[in-house]
Amino acid sequence: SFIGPPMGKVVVVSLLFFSLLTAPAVLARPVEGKERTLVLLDDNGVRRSHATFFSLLEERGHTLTFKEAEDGDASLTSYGEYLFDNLVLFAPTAQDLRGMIDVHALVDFVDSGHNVLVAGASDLNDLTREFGAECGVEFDESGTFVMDHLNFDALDAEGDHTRVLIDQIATDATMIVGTEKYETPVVYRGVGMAIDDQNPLVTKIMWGSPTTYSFFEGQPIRTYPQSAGLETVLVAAMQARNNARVTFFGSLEMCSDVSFKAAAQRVSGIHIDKTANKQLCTELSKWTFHERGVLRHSNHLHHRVGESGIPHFYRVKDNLEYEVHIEQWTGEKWDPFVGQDVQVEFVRIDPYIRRTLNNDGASRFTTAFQVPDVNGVYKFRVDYWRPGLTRLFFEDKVIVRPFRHNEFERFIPTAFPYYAGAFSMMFGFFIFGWVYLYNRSD
Amino acid sequence: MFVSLPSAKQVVVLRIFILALVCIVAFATRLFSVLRFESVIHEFDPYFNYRTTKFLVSEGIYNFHNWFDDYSWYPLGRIIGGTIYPGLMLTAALVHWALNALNFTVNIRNVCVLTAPLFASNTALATYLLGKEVENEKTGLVAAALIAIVPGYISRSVAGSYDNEGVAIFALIFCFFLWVKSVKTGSLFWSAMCALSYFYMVAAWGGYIFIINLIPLYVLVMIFVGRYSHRLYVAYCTLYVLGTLLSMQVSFVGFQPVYSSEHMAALGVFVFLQVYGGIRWISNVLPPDYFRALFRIVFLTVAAAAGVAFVAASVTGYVAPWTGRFYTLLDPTYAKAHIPIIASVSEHQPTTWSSFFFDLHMLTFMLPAGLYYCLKSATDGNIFIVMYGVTSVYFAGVMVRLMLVLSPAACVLSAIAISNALRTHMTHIHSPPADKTTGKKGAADTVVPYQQEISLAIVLGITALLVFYTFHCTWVTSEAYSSPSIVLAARQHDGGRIIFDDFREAYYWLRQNTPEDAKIMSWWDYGYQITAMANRTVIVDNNTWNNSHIALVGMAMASDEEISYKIMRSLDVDYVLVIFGGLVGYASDDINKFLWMVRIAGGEHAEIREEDYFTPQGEFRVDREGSPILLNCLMYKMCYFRFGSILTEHGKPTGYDRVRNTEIGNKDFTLNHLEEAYTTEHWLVRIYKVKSLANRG
Repeated sequence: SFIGPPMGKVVVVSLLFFSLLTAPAVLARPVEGKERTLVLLDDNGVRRSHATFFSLLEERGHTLTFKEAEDGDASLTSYGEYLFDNLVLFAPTAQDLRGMIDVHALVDFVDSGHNVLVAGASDLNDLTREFGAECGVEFDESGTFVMDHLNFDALDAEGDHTRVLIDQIATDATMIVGTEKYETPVVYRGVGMAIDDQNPLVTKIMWGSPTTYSFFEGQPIRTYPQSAGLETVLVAAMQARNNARVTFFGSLEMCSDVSFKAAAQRVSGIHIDKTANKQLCTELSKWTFHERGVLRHSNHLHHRVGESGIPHFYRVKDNLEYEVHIEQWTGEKWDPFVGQDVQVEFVRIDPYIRRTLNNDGASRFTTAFQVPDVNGVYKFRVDYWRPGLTRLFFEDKVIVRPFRHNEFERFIPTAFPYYAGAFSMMFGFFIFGWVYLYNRSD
Repeated sequence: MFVSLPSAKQVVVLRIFILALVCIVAFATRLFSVLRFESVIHEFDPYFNYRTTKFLVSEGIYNFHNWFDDYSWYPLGRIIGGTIYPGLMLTAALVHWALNALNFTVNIRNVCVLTAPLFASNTALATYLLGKEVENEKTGLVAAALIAIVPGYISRSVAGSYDNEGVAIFALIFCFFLWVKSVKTGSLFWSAMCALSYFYMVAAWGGYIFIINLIPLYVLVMIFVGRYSHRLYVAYCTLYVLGTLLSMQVSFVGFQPVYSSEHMAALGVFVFLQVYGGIRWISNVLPPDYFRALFRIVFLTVAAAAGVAFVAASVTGYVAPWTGRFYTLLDPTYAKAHIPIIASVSEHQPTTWSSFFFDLHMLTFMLPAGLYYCLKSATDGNIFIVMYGVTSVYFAGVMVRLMLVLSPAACVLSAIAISNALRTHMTHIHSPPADKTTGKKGAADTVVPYQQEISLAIVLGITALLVFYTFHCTWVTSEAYSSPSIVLAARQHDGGRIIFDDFREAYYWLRQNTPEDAKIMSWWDYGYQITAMANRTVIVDNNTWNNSHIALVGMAMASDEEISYKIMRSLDVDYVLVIFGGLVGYASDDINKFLWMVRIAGGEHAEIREEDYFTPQGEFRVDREGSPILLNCLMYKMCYFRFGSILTEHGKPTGYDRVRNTEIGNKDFTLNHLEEAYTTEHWLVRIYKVKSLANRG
């Protein structure tokens, strides 16, 4: 067809980019003004061992500031202003955090709309563990490993089966893990997690096979492990209500240079040239740092058909139009959002009307409907909450009032018999009165 | 100068002078509350009336008529124009406009505060007219003097008590006066006047139902005792036709006069009167034998058909079912069994004997005497006042607040008794004993020994009674009925007065410190005050038109915090307000009202069960023995938050509740979804802010 060849070329080119280690990163950048990223490390050795990951971040426009956790001079704020937009918390084992960063600072950082990428490790410190708990992620006990006696890396010389190969990735959450197919497993060595089922904001992104479990390495299992099988979460993502994003890996090693380049071998003997670690880490960091899946809205307004201003109230059965502009960050600029499933509800405790907004392709979403024949205080509510996208939630209060006394129809056909009755009665009474008064027959 | 007038004119001047004094007394005795507190609107409903009057004055009549209020019953809203009796507001607004037109710039609050005393004076005049019409001028004067200070009426008409009843009692009495007048004269003019005053009554108060049932009943009685006359026919037909058409102009009443059961009696009597008049005419025209045959065939068939039609209409629901309040009137136990929201209102409770005496004093036993005098020499007017007295005694016994309707009847009947007794015995005092010995009198007037002394004793007795009555009324007015209940007063140990102004403190806090569109949830009692004084949106208020909405609020109060939070989120509640009397010992607080919330919530939501809030022994208690569901529900937590660490009385443990006289059972708890926003000086009002959803969970 006409479009076929160029499209195909694009796909091939992007595949090439992904497959080449030294390829320049795709054009994805965090949303304007959100590039300042603090990297908090156990020690400077991590900076070297994870150099590829950091260089990928820098290529995508992040200005990285490296701090060692035990330096003691790391701080997220200065005089109440946040110095950073994002935090890479790669300090899972540092025990002595003398700096200004404690779990409250991290929580405040997230609650004021900033993003955090957290890596764990087997001997996890309290800071990471408590921060996880604040975000609905529970790390397993310190010293435990995720193990799998059927899906470990056969090339691993240690033989303790803690270097596991993971194929279970939430590939349907394409906003988070990317649209690219995961051809090879991810190699993982670290702590397992469990997520809070009561918390609707946390999702598991990578989890174990049915034979995976988490326990102290080399010890006989006497108690039930904290997590086993598919419940063993290895990567979890949380998007807070203010759209701050936090991603947890249980394994710092997962995004090291070594893991990025590593080869592996399945128990069945199938050799894997290159694991998917680099692909996963890159995609997760893009999502976490608001380089992808970011929507913004503006100009949500409503008016009567044929008018333009936002009225203070509507009358029942008025016809109105609703519109909102929604844009999506493509990694370079704000483009019109193309979703076809954005809905608006007209709510008075319950939704009385629910309409899918028509998208004109130029970021304008519109619909028109008739106000229900029930007076009250309504809200236009848009609640667009899709996996991986920032949540759009906004409401506009509006009053719907009944007809005024002079807005009812005045002469309805149904009433004509009554008019006729009244007038004939008056006429008849007049005749009767005249006859009665002036025609005495005696 | 006065003595130089001829004696007939002296009487007129004296009468005017007495009436003027009566009016002044009626007005002045109602000012205790203004002098003792300030010019402030009282209680609950008056705040709503005040708010609507302000709206009427500032926005005009049309906007008032079409007012859709988005500040109450969020998010349902309330069509105020169509759900109120606008007579009171229009009256106050007219007074306000008239005064301003005359350059007396009285602000609308003061007009509202003084509307009830002003109309109390008018009521005294109307009662004079009624008494005059029923008996004579002297009776009218006594009746006017009695009603000017009768506590049963003062309870609803002190300055600041800006409620419908304030003007409605005047309308009621005036309407009765015109009715008696039109029955006596048979004049179209007076009947039309009566219909107009009935219209005013309809516009002012839902109690017009009493008029539109009492008058037909009176007509029926008149027919059955054989006092049917053309005067009666003209008066009733004019009143019914004009009055019904006029009453339908009040939008809250609308088409009720043609389909609701409460109005069917009037319609039935109207039809019956036509039939009765027709039959009388036919019986005059036809020979008796023919007439009897015709009567049997036609009349009985029609009557049977009408009866069947009425029953069918009632069963199919075409004639609206009788409302709960009406059933409560006929069967005092009905509400308790079926409609908790009606039973929960204290003024809908049956009346105790003591409150009869408290509100009527000597009228309680003068009333039967008045009935005796009326029946002794029955006239059309007398029979009416007897029927008014008898029916209102019954209704006052059923519902405390209907004492208000009884009071004028009691005053008129007592006035008849008093003035008759005085007239009889005063003549004996004046007539010298020598007259009797001459034997000029007829045989009927037999000589009674010591007649003059007995008469003197009776006159003195009545005078003493009247004096005691005056003292009693003044005392009751001053002590019981002049408290605005928005500001509370109490006596300290040393006898000094202490003022609790916590309600206004809380409402002003809301007004100053919360966003303008904040929604406040509280029990419905406080809804009117919050909208009027805090100017904030409320979920439910004293206009209890939507039981399920109130039940939802009751459920939020009676459930544990998690469930309540979901309900409050769905209602967009920003703040919750509770009344708590445990610190100062204010007994009518939310914990004491709590069982009503549970009952009302339980009526709509099966998960709320009243017995869960009692101990296994069936007691309602908040101490350690109390039911765990009660000790963990939202209402308990909001009332007793931080109370466990407070020392309220010497020699008692912390957290000692001075209303329930017990140490509370659950002292140490935290609130997850609410945070304390404000607690007033004496902890009477506590306000909590509903937190928004947690950012990370």
